[in-house]
Amino acid sequence: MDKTVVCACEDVTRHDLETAAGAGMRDIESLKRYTGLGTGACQGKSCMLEAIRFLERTGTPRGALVPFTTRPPLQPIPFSELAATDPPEPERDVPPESTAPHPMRPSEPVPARAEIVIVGAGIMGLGLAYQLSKLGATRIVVLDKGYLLDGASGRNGGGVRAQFSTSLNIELGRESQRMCAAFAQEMGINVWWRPGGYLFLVRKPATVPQLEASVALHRAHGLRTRLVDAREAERIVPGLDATGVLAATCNPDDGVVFPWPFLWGYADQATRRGVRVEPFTRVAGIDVRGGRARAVMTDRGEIRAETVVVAAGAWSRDVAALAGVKLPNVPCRHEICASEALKPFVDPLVSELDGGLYFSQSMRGEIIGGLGDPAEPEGINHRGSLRFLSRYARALTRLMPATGKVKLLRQWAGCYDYTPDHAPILGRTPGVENLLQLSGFVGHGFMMAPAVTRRMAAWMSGARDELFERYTLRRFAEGRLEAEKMIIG
Amino acid sequence: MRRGASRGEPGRRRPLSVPVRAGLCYHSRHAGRRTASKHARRTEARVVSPQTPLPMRLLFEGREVEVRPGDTVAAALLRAGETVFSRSLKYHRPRGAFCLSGTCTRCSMRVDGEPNVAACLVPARDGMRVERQNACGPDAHDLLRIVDRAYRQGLDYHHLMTHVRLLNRAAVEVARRMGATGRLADGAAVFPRIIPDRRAVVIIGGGPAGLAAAKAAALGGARPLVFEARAEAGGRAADGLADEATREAVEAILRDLPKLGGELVTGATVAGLWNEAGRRVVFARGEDRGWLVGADRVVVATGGMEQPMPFEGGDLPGIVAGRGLLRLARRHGVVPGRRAVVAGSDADAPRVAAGLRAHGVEVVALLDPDARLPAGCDEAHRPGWRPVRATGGLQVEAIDAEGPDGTAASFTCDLAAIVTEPAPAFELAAQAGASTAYRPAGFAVETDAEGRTSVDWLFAAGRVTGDPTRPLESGRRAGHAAALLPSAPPAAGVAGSDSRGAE
Repeated sequence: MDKTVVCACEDVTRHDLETAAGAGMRDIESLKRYTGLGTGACQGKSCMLEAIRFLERTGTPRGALVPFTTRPPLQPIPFSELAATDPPEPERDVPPESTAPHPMRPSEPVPARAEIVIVGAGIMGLGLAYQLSKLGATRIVVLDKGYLLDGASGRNGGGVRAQFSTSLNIELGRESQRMCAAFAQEMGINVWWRPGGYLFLVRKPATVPQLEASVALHRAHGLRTRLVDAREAERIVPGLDATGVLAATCNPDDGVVFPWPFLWGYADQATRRGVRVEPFTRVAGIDVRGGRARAVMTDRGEIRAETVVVAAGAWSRDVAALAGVKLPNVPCRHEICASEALKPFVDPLVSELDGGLYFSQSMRGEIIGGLGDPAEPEGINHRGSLRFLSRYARALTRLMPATGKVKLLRQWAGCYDYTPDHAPILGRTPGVENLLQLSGFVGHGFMMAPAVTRRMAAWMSGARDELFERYTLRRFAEGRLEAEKMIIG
Repeated sequence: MRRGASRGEPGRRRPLSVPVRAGLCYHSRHAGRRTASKHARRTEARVVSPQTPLPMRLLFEGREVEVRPGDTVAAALLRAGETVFSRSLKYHRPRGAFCLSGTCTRCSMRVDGEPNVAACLVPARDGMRVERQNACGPDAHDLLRIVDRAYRQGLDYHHLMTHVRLLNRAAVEVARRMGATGRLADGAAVFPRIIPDRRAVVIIGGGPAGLAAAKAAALGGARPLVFEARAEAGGRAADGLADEATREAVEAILRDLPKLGGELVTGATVAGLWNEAGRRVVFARGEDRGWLVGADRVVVATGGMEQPMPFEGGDLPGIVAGRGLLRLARRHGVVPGRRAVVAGSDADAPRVAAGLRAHGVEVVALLDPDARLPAGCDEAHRPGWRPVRATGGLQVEAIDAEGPDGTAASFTCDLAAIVTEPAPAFELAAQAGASTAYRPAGFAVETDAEGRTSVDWLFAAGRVTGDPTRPLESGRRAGHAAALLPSAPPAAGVAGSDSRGAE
């Protein structure tokens, strides 16, 4: 047993690297996420090179021997200093993404035929594949252009709430919470579900009635949501300065998870049942003839398919466009950051609903949070900005002054997949009946996925489900719009 | 660089833990004086001065520890024979200082109620409260050390107690409480002064390459601003590791730079380099202030980062980066051991061995795993020998090594100096989008002969480009090219900064 320490911040040993490689983590980004290496205080300055040398020794292609994405800052910065920094102007435009083949792209071709091809191996695609495989479908191929956590599933804050303003989202959120609580037993991997509650705060008079209406709806659905005042909010989160907060709600059954193991768990269990999960494989086209999707073209060959599912998150619009289908979805960057890890001092996830701020404390002790930016331009962008850090630090230290001494450890970004009415796009595509949609979750897809994918698998296997009739692309042509108001950021 | 800091070795053997009493030139070894009497404390290798108490003391875990002018917290603790600075995250292994240059964070401690402070960087002050982090139980012993022994296969938190729901819920709570090393800081935050500025050329790193770049940029009329993380500029020249010509050139630049219109800020770490909305922003942090500099061009001359050598037990306290040890001895007069193994095939390894001997340390072996060092470079040179295991309780007590023919030997020691080739400190350049290439020493920023990177406004010089051999030449070229490149049309300063910051 080689317990030689490779990463001293996180106590990652050489044996841990071998275990991760055995679980299929052969690129540096996956190895980092699976072992935790390089996620500690030194951010990989003392361990990344050894991890790269390990990958080199164990046969990772030379082109993939690259550093993991730099996560600013280089040295931890107290939030007080960032709050004292004036935010730079917003970006005006977003540079295009690279379309080069991934250096980890396997050399062997993809399977020539499949019953179902799912584009996107995020939590939606993998969750659906797993649920379908449980119902007996096995000729399933899940494709992704990057590593498994490259998209928003690997970039979100891990909140799972039932506090929404529409019945659909309330029910899906609650079902997901139940599934999160049982995930470790069902899938054999920890997701660290911790129901520490969600505390929503509002500062604008106009938002108060909306919050009150939501509480009534939550109660009707059996949620334990309570309307609380500023003083009680300060009791729920010691150290909070709720000056200026007009109203707040708290549901103690909401909570947070560690997002990454969901994907590993789903991928592992689906693979055991015969599903092919193919990361590092780019979809280049979808062959549509006679109103049906016939095949998916990739940079590893063509797969003839009976059903194609678009579950590509923020890339869904681009993937659907390959089949000639126009989705109204718009991708937009949402930035997020993690502080140094500290012993627990915040229980619930705290969010200023009308300010766009949210934060919670992860299992590892980091304060993980973000802040929406009304000036953010449309487009896929994963770079972190100083503008975000400054704005976030100002909002965070105003709401919780004790965080002024907490140090920012790293920042990153993911993309929301916006729809015009903030409701998802599901079910069949008008004009291409075997092209199924599973997108448009506007920043809360991760928390919905366990429930949505289970229902979608059942529906695809013949069960009736109103969800997949009501939330289709057709609703935009027919003017039947939904309106979820409890969107953070 | 201070004059005198890079003269030859004193050439006399010193017992240990050299007490330096003269506050005026604490940086210099020459200020040290041999103590007449001494007593061992905590480990046999430790000796502290029993003389009349000096006025400054910090409180380490409630005990008084002497502080000398210019000390960092790490220097003061190591002088006092303290090696265990904290406990590791999962296995509660003892952790001490490693890199002594602010990159590895192994020496993170709670200082004056603030968590995760790098003891090797923070200046020690009278009355400072210094505490170990993540320690469970009395003093240097730790009850949770048992985790390391209980989980012989390693702690696989992904699959820990997944089977039974109730146990799993308990595991979540336990893991959460064990899941970080620091606690929230005491007291309210002070919102510091962030100084806005705007420059044609900013240079990151005040070693030989950065200083040469600064001179060239200044001669080109660019009025460059140089940020150096350490208290003293000069990099390897300040560490006594550069050749005579480089040392002289560095001293000359430090003397002339202000006259040429360049500005050097020491003790300021560049924490980030953002390029957004068409502007480049350099964020630097000093002890009590920060800088937010809008820059037209940036030269990255960040040098290298000390790398550990992974072998079993290699994370024990007392296993320290060799160059960091030399700096500790030069600047603070502290040598935390008396019998050392030096390990590494970098050309600095024999220099570290000689430097340690000059400070009275017995070097029992110089292990040269890649057999790259010239024969006869050191009396203890063992080509082809590599360390395979370090043993010890709270600090290293022996290094087991293996020879090229499989011969094994064990070297009793209380100090191991690791001297691997520093990895290029490429992160800032990578953050700015510059491409890197994988080399044996690490990821190097790719440049042309003039130091241009793949990003048009970004230049790199010195070790960060993968070539540590000609820092002055590469710095000069990069600084010259950066000064020549025309500035972007003047923007309104760093957005949001006051008008003083805009040109």
